[in-house]
Amino acid sequence: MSRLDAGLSRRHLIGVGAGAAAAGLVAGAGGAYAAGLGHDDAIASAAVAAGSDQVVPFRGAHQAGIITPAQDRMHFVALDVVTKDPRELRELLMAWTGAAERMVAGAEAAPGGVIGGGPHKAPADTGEAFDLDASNLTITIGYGPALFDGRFGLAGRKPSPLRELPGFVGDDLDPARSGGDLCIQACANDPQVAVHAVRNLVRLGFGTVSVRWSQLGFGRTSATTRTQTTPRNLFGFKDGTANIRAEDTEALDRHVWVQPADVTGSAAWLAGGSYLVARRIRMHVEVWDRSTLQEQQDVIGRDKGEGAPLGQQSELDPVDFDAKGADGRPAIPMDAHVRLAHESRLGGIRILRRGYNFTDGSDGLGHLDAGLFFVAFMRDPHEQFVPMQRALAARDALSEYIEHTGSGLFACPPGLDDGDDWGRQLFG
Amino acid sequence: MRTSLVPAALGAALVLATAACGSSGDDRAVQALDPRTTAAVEQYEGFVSEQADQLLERTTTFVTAVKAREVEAAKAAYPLARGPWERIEPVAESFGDLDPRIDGREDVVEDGQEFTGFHRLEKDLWVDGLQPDSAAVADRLLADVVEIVARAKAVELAPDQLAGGAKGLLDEVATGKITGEEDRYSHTDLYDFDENVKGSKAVVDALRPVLQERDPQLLTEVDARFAALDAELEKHRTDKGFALYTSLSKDEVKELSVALDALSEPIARVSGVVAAK
Repeated sequence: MSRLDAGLSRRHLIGVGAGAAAAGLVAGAGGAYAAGLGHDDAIASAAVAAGSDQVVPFRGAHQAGIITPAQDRMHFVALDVVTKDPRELRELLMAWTGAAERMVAGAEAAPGGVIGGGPHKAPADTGEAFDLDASNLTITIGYGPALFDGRFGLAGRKPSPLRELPGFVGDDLDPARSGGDLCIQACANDPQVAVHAVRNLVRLGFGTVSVRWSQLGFGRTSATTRTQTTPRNLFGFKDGTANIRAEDTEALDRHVWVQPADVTGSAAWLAGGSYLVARRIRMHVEVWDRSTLQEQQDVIGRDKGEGAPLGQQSELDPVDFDAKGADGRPAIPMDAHVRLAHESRLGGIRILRRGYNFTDGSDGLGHLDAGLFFVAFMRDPHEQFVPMQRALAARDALSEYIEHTGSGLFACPPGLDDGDDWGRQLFG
Repeated sequence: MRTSLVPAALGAALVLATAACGSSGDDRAVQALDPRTTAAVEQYEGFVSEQADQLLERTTTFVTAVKAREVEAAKAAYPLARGPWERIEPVAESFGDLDPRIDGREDVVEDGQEFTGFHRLEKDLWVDGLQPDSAAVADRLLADVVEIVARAKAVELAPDQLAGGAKGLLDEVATGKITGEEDRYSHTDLYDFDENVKGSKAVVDALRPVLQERDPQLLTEVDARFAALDAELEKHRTDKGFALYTSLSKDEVKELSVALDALSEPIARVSGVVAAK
């Protein structure tokens, strides 16, 4: 759809790209990718030319990819830092900023990256997005608790809520799908654009970082603006109806954005940022599919067709936990997911959900290895996600059909000002 | 080698051929005029020749042990005989017909082609026991090696082929050795790993004056990452040689892979520097 009437593909941005960064060499971490940051008129004009519905601004008060209208596809990657040299990490973060800003604008990862380097060099851009437009790509970076363990002189800058999540009842976490020193969330409407972004950033990082785990998501499971319709998860239900939306600025400040007062002193770099909690939730879809419609609706607490809370008519009707069914019992069962996850039951706790459906092939036993890659943003994971998940893990009727198999916690810094980069922002 | 024998061998030959064609006549002229690149080619051809001699010597030892049915001695000689081969693998592989006969693996031998060479004898020694035709296979291996040694010693290389070879050797590690596929019966993959890396380093050593002049920063990075990879390999050295691939944990394999990736990216930039006028 948008591809046809889209503005410009990367291929057409070659000329722009060549002028965007001063030097055209692929100089590895800290090299030419970092050149020309911020005051990059060429990139800005390319973004305008490509059509505003295709390009999400890279810079601003907050990082893109949080309250940005949820795109259709996601490639999420968690990485470990393998270098011992903080300067290398800082230079990589600077190089990533440059490459990310270019790719988000619909340009190649480096100027002339696909073919401009000539026949004797390995191309600096991997090329699979050459003919594709920006596709609403957002690239969001986050830092895990382990990054602040002292290896890189960052221990003093660690925000106190950035500490590992506790275990929850029923967890079956795979260490190979959990944790990480940092993460990159790439979302786009075209999966190839998202994969291209991650692949090129990972490539810039060889020798400095190493991929720990990654996850592809193929369908958004949340609406993050009032104009987006609520999508369905792999259980076939509308999900995230009660999500915080981009328009709810007051709720965002209260529940999503880290406030200046939350992070004083050397952790102040995180003000305006947000914590990202990722959970790979395997859904036992075959078992679920054998449940009756009534069972399914009772587990969720909403009807399957409309997404209305049980006892109500339409999706956005307020949830009434006191409503009784014809049999005199609560219309919404006491262990229904909606009841346990509702803010009224959790002391007003809310989070911004931004998850994706996933299918990683099959499990060797004839079942889909599928589920929900839960991603949520919040102001304090230990005040929000932890109590919420504790309440759910212990009692949620849904627990019978799901299993948490991966977990990650990351602090996503605020947006970048003109001329700033992720390296300076983190290291100061 | 990883994929099907003949296409892969052709692919390797093609890489060398395209590398040669990729340079215009002008490039060649310029390269020919730079005494440093000429010297680099000479030095590397000398290295290839030296390794070819060693290959012949060590293969003879291996073959002799097989034919004498001295299994333990043959097993000990096997990874050592492969060493020089692995160091000059891209050159050796460029002789498309000989490579599958010497280094072919059972699952990638094409229909109508016999499974011969190092890996057939590896399977005999470690899995099946020596077979009635093992001695004949050993004789043929030696004859093939004699032929490839003669060809390798006469090979004339272009500067851009050197750079391609440095990268190709690391590609071999990434696709065959780090996965434990190469020596699936003996599990002596780390020997081959080490020799591929040494072969790649020999190219960089030959090109050192060129790189030093044109991109000293890249050379520093390459040297540091060779050292880091060597340090990872050293962790698995034993008094006899290297630990078996199967004794490595998943985390240990990943550490090797991380160090290999870290080296492979800057090595991939060498060709651009060598080609630059």
